Amino acid sequence: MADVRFFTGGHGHILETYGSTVAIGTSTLDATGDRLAFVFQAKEAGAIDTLGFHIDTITGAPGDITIGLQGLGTTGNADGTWKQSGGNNCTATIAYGDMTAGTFFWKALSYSYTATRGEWLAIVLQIASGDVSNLYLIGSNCAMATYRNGFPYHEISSDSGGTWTKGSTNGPIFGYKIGSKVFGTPISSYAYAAFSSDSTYDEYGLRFLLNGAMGDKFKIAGVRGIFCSPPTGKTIRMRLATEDGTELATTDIDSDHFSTASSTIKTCEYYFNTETLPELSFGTAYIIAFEALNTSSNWGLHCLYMTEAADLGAYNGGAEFYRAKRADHTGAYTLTDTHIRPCMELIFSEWTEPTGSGPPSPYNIALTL
Amino acid sequence: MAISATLIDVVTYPDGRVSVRFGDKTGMTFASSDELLVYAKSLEEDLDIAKKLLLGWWQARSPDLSNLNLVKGKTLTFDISSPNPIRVQ
Repeated sequence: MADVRFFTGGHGHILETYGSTVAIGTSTLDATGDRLAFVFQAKEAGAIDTLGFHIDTITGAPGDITIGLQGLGTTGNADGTWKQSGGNNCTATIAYGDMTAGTFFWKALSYSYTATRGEWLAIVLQIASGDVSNLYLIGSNCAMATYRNGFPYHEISSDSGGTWTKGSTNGPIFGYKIGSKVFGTPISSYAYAAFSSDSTYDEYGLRFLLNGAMGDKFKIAGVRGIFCSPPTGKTIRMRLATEDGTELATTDIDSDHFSTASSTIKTCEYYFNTETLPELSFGTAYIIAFEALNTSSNWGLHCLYMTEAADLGAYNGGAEFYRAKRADHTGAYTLTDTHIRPCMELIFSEWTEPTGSGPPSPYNIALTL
Repeated sequence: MAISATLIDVVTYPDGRVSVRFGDKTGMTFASSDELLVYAKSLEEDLDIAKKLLLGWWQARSPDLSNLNLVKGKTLTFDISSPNPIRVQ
């Protein structure tokens, strides 16, 4: 049976690591008319009523930000014309005091814009005034996720009508909503918690639930994720379990099975080495977690932090995929981190069709042979 | 061909975040000064950078890369702590 390698159950895109550290890339708005834009396609038709961006830093008292939607010109830049609804600009005004630095900020538009599927759009931020002492740093891109970004992208224009400079290195941080649906890459922060066997929580991982309508049974072959590597001579236990802590499968990982010891950020792909993989059920929640078996392991699981749990709807798996943790690797997992998304993706081995009549919900599934 | 970066400011915030700003209106904000330190030291992990610089050095002097004799046997040393960080010999 074909392996299901890549699974997109919601919206947004996978973040992959290329860079060597964890940082938010910023764009400076510090002069009248400075503009920042996020160029994207509307994933589906609907009324875009809320836009979002990461506000990294506010210095002094910069002028209001006007945020709204524009189309694209022939060069792929924001075209300078606000989208309208009934003759009204689909924009909103944000005062600097409305925002909390270091968070992802959502703003409802005064008038929503009805986008068509795949429409080429730009979220544009424009400031009324600013200078070297009164400025915004917008967290426009993920310096961690530097996958030589092609599209979507962010771009910046200085001093009203200056040329645009596109960001081509890092994935953009932006968001939009159509009603309750969240799109884009809304990130409030990202971090890794390095843990060891004597940490408060010695086990961290991904809690996931796949909708019951998507299939009948499935098997997980392994995971792909972004981790921090321990020093040599340590052991990490990868575990598949249920929420109440019932163990289903384990595989021990020698920290020497890592290209760079004591490294802060690496993408890894690990498989269970059990002879038979456990059969799992759609509609039931499971955990894939990593337990540090030694002190001074400093194994870390990179995670994306949202302003609110609902923002996870922008990511693969949606709000049913979030961080789990456990103390002393026994008992039920702690499931309070519903706004935190581990940078992990599931690697399936088998997937059987749903029983009964009717197709599953319209999820996108990519198969590899 | 020249690439350059100008450091405008480094600011540490009460919550521990450290923000680095450059002259082209880009920047990076790290969760802590430790993260900035890791990034600053990350050149040590990028073993390809000397190779890229050498090939770039060659291309700058032979735009279509036709003159192999210019670069064959040459060694580019990139030592960021040196007064002359890049040497080709």
